[in-house]
Amino acid sequence: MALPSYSDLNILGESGEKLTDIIDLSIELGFERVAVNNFVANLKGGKGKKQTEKIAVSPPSEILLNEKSLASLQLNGKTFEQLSRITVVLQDDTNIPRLGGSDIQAYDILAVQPTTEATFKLACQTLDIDIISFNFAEKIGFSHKRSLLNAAAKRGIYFEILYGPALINNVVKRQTISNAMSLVNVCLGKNIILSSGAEYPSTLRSPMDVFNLARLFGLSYPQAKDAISGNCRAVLKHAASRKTCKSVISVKAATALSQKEQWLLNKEYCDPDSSVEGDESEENDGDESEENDDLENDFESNEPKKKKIKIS
Amino acid sequence: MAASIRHSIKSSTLQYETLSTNDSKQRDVAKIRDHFFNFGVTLILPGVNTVPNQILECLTDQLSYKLEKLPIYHLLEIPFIQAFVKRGAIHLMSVNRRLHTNDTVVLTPSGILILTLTKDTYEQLGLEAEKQNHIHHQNKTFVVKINLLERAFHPGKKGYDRTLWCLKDRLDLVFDCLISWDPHDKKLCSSSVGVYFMEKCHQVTRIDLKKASRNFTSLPCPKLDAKDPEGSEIGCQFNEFFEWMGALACDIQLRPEDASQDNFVTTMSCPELVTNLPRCCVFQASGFLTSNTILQVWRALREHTSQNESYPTSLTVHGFNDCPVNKKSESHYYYVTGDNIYSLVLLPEGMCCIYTATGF
Amino acid sequence: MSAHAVTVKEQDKRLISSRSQPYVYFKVKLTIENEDTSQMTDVVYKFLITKAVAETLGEVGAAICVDLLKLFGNGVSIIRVPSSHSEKLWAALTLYGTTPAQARCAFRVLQVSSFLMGLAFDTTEHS
Repeated sequence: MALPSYSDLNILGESGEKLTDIIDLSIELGFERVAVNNFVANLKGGKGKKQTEKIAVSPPSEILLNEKSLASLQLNGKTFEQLSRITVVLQDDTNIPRLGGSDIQAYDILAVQPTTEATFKLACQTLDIDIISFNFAEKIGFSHKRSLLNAAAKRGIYFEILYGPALINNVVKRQTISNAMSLVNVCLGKNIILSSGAEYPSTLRSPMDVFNLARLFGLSYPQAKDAISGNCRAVLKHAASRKTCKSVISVKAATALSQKEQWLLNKEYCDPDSSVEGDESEENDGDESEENDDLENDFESNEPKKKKIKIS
Repeated sequence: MAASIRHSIKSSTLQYETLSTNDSKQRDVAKIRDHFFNFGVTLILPGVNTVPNQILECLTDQLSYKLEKLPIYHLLEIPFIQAFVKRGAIHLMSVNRRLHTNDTVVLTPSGILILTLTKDTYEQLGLEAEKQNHIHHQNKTFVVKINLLERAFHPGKKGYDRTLWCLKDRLDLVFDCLISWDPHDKKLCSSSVGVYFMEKCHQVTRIDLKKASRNFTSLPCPKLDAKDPEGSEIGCQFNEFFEWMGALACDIQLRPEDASQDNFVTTMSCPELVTNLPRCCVFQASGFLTSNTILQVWRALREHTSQNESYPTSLTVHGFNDCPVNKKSESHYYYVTGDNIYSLVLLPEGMCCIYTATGF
Repeated sequence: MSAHAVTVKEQDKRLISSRSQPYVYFKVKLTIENEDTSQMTDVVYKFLITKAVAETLGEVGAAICVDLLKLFGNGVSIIRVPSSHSEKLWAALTLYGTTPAQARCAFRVLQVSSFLMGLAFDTTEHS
């Protein structure tokens, strides 16, 4: 289960203290979920000979909150979720096999930033990723084709607009706004997330500010709200589904079920013919079958809806 | 072609209503009664230096508590329903939960438990929701209403057993809540609700009202003509007047219009026609206030003002922005401006007006 | 404004319902990196707001009347903008990243309301 709480799925994480400052501020501003991003500008190494050039990807780091922010969280009874994310720049298709490697899959969220038409097409159509990010600071060398964006959206991939770089100077600002607006225009405002890409605390804005920026980029009120809340939750669901079988069924040992889930073992509730009042949601338990249910709302999904609970 | 740049934020709605103070339908009282969950009040009292005691006394009677980490199934238990829901007006509301991005819960004095749930929680819970309205559909939220006072709602009945099972054994729905109880029987003490929950949740703390008052001398005050609220020669527009009240509530000093020579910082001024208010007291209290308390304040205020009617006296009630209901159990929702406020203003000549601001 | 208002006239009762308000009010917090904003005067604060608006919206945008109604000590202020340009003005404040002295800064909106009365309390936090 994941709440569609206010999220910022891109905080650039490098050194310790600055990063904690950003995270503390994000809590203060009302975010309840952040992802710390590891940005890999060039992922060397691939199949065969190139393996030797391989550069190591550091494992997702653990960032501890300081006591003060923890105390304020507890006082308000709030929750805070911290995730790890990796963004890989795709220059060409040579280093794609590495995306499946365990060092990269160790991150919660996997994002790519295509730089050419070919890699963009690849990202939309075949790669098993969660987010496609763009470098809006420069003129992107390819067009957002509606067919490609639709294909990606159908597979539950979300597009990321970064507002952080736009704060640096006017040229980048103009470039970002116009690129964002054209992206929104092509994908009709669906499957968009907004994040800061913050390197410094001063880059971060409050959820309401980001909401209004999303409006500036041409999203409707519900879409703008989704861009910082609901869609980020869908990204998480999609990321979780990468780790399950066919994204529809996951298998758990009966002993691994928590106390509140024990009722699933009771035949009375699972049998559709039983006398107990049947409710659809009984068979649709979020933890059991990790199904990306947001897809069917946003785009027509051809995937058959399967709901099965298997208990080994 | 790129989408066009938008210009303006969708505004909240402001409703203005005039009535005479001895209104046959008692719309002022109805307004207060229908608004269950109140965060605070702002009183504008012209002609006095201190807040009259009879008004302050109204605020001391009510006891409210914050219940930390309350499992929601405790509200379905028969002892609770018998002792509190049936024998008084219970006001319970979850706090620090954002509307539409978190789950929220309220229990109204009429005994209806309203859960406003996000999609995931709803799907796991397994209780039936009401038909979604337009906004709930857009936000993928679901409203589950449970009437605790329904006749068939007791153990042994299918509906009760299933609801309890869903909330107790299937899902951990735990909230930080504010609670206050007005017993029908005046002999009972309203503190017993705090005692009852002592064992059932993590921590119970009493909420004390935060009070503050400010005094003004020689304050510019606009005139509102109840008969012509859209502005005339003898009165300002009703929304200008509301802004003036807001300025006092936010402690902003307004100047009469002609005095504003240097307007680089602000061009705001007191709306025409300006009269001079020799003395004025602004009193604010915040915490958690029930409709009953507000009603007492309103009655005391009216009693107090009957002697002094030449300037407008007002009571503004601030609801919670993130409260899932506003008027009675109607859904409250918003995207940007979550206003949930109403004001009652006593005007000269036995007139009264009501402002209602509802967010979008 | 009155064009959108609906008026119902009865003997003793007048009811007006208006869906569009003339202004939008913001509670804004300005932070400047490595600088104390608590001593800032209202003229300097207003100057920064004008700068921020002009940077994104140009001189035409800067001509829109933004009123600084109150400045609290800690860089928090209450401002009023005409509702017809509120969304763009807000975005302009959000996208302002560096002061004229090249220090990183941020205008963050804490509360929005169509009425000044709405900013009297912050009802979202309760501890």
